[in-house]
Amino acid sequence: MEPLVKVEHLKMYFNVSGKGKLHAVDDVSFDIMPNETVGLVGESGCGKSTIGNVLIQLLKATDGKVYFEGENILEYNKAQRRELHKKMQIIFQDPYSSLNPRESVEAILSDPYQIHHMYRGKELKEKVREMADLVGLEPYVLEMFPHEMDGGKRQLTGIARALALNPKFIICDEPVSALDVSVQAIIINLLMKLQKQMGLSYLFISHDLSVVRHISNRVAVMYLGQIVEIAPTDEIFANTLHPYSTALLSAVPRIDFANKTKRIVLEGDVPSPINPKPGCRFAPRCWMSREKCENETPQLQEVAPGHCVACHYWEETRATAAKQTLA
Amino acid sequence: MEYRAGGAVAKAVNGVNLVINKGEALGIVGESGAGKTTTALSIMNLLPDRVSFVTDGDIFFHGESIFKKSDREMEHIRGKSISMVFANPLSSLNPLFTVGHQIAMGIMKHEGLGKREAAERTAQLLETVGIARYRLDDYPHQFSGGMRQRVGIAAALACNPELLLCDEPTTALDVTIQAQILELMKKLQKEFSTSLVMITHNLGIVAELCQQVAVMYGGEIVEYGTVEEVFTNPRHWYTYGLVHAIPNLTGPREELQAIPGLVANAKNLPQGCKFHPRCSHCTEKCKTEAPAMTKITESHQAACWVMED
Repeated sequence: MEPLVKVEHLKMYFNVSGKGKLHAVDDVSFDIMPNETVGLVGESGCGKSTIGNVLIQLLKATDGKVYFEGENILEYNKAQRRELHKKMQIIFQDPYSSLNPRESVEAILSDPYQIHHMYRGKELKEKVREMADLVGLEPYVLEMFPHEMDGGKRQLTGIARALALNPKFIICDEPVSALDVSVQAIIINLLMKLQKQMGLSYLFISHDLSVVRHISNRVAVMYLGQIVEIAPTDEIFANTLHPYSTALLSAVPRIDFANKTKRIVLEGDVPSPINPKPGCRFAPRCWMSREKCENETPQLQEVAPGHCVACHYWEETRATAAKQTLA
Repeated sequence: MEYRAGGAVAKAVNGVNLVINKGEALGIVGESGAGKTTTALSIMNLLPDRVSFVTDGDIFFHGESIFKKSDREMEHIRGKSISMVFANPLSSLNPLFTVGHQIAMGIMKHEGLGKREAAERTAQLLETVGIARYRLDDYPHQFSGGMRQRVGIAAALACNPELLLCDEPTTALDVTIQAQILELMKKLQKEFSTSLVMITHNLGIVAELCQQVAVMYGGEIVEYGTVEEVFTNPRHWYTYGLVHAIPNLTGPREELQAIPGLVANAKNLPQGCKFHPRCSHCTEKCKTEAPAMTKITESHQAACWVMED
């Protein structure tokens, strides 16, 4: 099967005046199959959202290629991009700042159809009602404005708007991070149901590993602008091979009294992505780091079926990780 | 505890009873608007006078009522015996003073140390939380989010408090930094037998750090007990809902059980059990009569009419 989205050597650098270039996304490649959810995890500032914004073309990539259904969308002109947005949509973390405060829900949900001249009048009204119903918004909500709604309803409005044009691919940028757990569960269940119903593919960006595990088929772990590990969900959660993913997973506090996890505590903060040094970017915080790590950038290599990792010494991770844990 | 403003009354905290022993860690969990932070601010006696009113009840610290203390007496307790770590370190640190100065101020006031000694003590504190001593003269904006939160913790620990209140101390932080801070708190508990109140919506943090947990809903504690009993054998349907709404990191992936409806509005609390409009096991009795806390075991109690075994 052909991948729906294929990202090749994507780079996004920002100029920081007087300091140089900020490498937000540095040589990232991955693909997303039809009907698949790929989870993208990592700490704040690692470039997760930047990837989302580049794919939806809110940002202009510095270099690299993004194929959607086989065509490089980074070379699209304005009219083509407009057509593309029927097939590719985004849901943002903060629905409050991504919904127009001066429009009612009805107007917000009408926008996509009006922009693309698809429906008008009675038909439009009906279509909007249908979309609201699809995500579980009751008809009375259509008259409300964003500030009158709670976070859950706002996020549902954001989802309904993204779905309006019947897209194939949706970028979910931390869609549940700002919500309480009970609302979070509603949104996650809805996204999974819609995926089945409409045959959607998701790029699910989140820092919450348990949410990502729940929703994704494959998971990519990012560190400082680069993907350090990517594998099928069950595989990566059972058997992380990159030291960073191993530490990240062990750091999540969990309710499990039977087998108390041992935590790997990483020293220090994430280094600055401005003019990063050559070599492995995780080396300064890594317990396995040696000379080679500081000089040679490790490439993402497939070490088991579907399991890629970017580490020179990945074979030693599991064995040495045990020694790093605190009782 | 009530908030009154513009004719509206919000019953934020209603009949909460808590006991925190020395060296013990208590977790308070619940969704936004459950009254968690208000409870903590009352312990610090930090609620704004003009809009907040304690209508009933009292808080005793070492057997003495906190509400009967004068402002001056409270000043001696705050920062010295009880201190607090706030959710957003950027808004709780003064941007105009260097972090060294801010922390030293508290030490000079409470411990009567001179400038030089206080600075030395501050440097040691920062080193305990993993910040190099040369950063003493930096301003809050020069630190990263995780470091700022650690500065906040260092400031709260400055005078070796007996009780440390943490209001969502790691919510704004990444997991690896969160792990650093949780380890630090465990260490403090062990070394100084500091009592800890941990307010959070993250059940995992409570499970790892605390011995006791109180689940709050609609300004009330609906379930209270040892962490293990409450999380493995929840007896209030709200606690059950919370535990089952979160996806797991291990084990099979099951569909998440969402809690329908909205968090109870403190301005318009329902009759009877505050949770009944959202509860799937609601009976007629739940709608009219509020359940009282019932003992399940010596160390576990819950307030629910339809508890199941």
